[in-house]
Amino acid sequence: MNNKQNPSSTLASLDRPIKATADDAVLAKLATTQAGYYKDPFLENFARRSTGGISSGGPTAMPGERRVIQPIIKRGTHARVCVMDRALSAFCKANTDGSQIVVLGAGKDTSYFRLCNGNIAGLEDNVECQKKKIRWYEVDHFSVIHEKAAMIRQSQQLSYFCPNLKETRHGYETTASDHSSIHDLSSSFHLVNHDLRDSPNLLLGKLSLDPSLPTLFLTECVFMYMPNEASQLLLQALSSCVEHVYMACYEPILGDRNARDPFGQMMEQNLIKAGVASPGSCLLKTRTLLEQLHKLTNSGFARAVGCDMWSAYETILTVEQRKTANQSEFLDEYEEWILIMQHYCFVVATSDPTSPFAAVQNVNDKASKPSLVGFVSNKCNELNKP
Amino acid sequence: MSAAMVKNPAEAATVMPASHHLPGESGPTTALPLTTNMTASSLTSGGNSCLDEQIERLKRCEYLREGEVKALCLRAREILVDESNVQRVDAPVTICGDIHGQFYDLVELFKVGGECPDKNYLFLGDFVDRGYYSVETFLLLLALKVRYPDRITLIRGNHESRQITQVYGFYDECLRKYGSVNVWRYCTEIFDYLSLSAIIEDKIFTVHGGLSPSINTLDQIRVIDRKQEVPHDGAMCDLMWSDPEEIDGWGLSPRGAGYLFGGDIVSMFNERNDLDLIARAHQLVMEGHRSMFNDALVTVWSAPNYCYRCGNVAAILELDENLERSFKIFDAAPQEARGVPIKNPPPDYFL
Repeated sequence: MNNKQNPSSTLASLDRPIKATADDAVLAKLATTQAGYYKDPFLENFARRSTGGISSGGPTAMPGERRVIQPIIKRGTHARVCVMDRALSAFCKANTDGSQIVVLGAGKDTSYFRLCNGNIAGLEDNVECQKKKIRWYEVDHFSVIHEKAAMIRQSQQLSYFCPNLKETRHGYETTASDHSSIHDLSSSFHLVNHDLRDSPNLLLGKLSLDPSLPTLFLTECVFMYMPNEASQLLLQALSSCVEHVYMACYEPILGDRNARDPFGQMMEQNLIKAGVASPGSCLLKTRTLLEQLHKLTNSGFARAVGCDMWSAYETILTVEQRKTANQSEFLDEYEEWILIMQHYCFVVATSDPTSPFAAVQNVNDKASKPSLVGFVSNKCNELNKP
Repeated sequence: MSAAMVKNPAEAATVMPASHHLPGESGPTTALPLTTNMTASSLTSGGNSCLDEQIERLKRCEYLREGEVKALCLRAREILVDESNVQRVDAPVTICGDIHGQFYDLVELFKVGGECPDKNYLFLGDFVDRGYYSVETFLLLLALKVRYPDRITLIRGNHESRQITQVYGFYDECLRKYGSVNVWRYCTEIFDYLSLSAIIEDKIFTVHGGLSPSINTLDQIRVIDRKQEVPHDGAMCDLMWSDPEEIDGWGLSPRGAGYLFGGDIVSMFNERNDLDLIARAHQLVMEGHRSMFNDALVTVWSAPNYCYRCGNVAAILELDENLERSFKIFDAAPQEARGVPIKNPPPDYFL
């Protein structure tokens, strides 16, 4: 996901591989939906101009060559979408009287459209969803926001859910009144231009969130590209920006430098070579699940819970979702699949330590209820702010 | 390996990939002529000096011209067609697991294990897919097979398949390197002729994947009609797809094809067929090899830093004339040791 803006041409060129990762994500998601793992009728609109991200061939690739996305990547992309959707649906179900959702480093994320269209697992009843008063914000670099707005305006399918998208001081928006003139919708949609490395207070100023509304921040592969200090400042600002803050993140974890982890070491080398791992980045600094959790509680969140994606696949994805994956494609790369999934994590955090959003089901207690997001005590780590 | 992913049997459906928009499955079209129209002399004498020269080129990772590939495949077919589904192999021999198009690592393997024909080799399949040099890798092994048929044995892995190679890279590599899919057609036809397993001195059974609930005896393997695309289920499929697991009896495979089989199954099979050991490949092992079930089964993995992503070491298993076992471990070749070779796209991650 891209979240960068810098006027300096040197820095801009350093940002280029990172900006290209937004296209990597879209192309992987498109291949995943085409193989039948899940439904996203909106991706094609965003993939049209995505000619390939950082892994799109290199010097030996011939023009027009078909980009093959490996089954392991499709299966993992499906898992990524499933866990983020699970967080989104848990939040929406728990906050039906109005809420705010902020996608940081949104890139070409389609969650808003899938939510409106009833394509989010657990929130399929789209009429119900649309009636929910959701203010939806997407934050990214100016060029990304600008391109996304153009894509929305060009597509009937997309602009149906963002009617009268108009330019504002900090990006674009469709207001609740724009919506209600066409549908029975009381939601609003905002594209906000901001470089996440810049001042978090500046971002909060642009968002001007309603402090009384529960607010969910979503990030998918965003912090990994940011300088560690900038990500800490951002999290500190977010953790107390409204009364009830919720956070859900999907990030890589390269593993402890001192542990024997040849897969993680090779992943580090390969990502450095791909130009997406700068020396002070969170990717290299926040290396384990526990470090991810500590970072959140150290930044002011009352509680953080998370698991690696291999555990998430077994506990947070539903039986139905795993079954769909198995029916979409067989997987020959089983051992590699476990390794790559162990090097990504899914983490949620809340400002309220007792929020059901960060609850964990205790497997040793039969009376313990299933958790809203799907965490199970023996397959996740929990951390409360001291 | 954990089978926890498929606790519920209903979750694991055996579904082969939908091969949309790709040729190769449209029917029994034959790219190689059914009978060899070259004369016997052109096959042999046009043969070895020319073949030696081709092997030299292949060892430099230069691929052959399309016509040369066709001729090589015709000669290979003549040899492979006579091999048994349970091909007999004499000791001493060096057993190698998956290679997956990692050409420079294959060269490294020969450096570590000794050159063919100085050493006798048995390769357990999965020559192609995943790596950047499937064409060069398979053609080198095939050329060695034609040149020294008694010093190298190639058996079939689950990737030696029309369907799988369309998903995992060999098809696209052929198209990219030759501008047409003819070479892919020649090679995949040869895949159908590769033997399914081998037996060393009547004591060590070798196969790419593992056992099958439809197979109790080696004779049952001998009667399989192997000259076909790898089927989606049944004995031939299981031999190439199954995995050992710490379970009792049979289990559902998380791969969606083949089965998981436990130590009891291995011990019954070994006893019934008077075997000491099953040697197989198919599963990435970070240490290059792994013994299971009190040394009744061993996995050999010969693709170091698999997919330029896994960081693992590789191994080959040497058996001396008394069938004493020793492993040789090796790392990725210098060209490929630091992750992705120059000029090749980086491996995929979630970004």
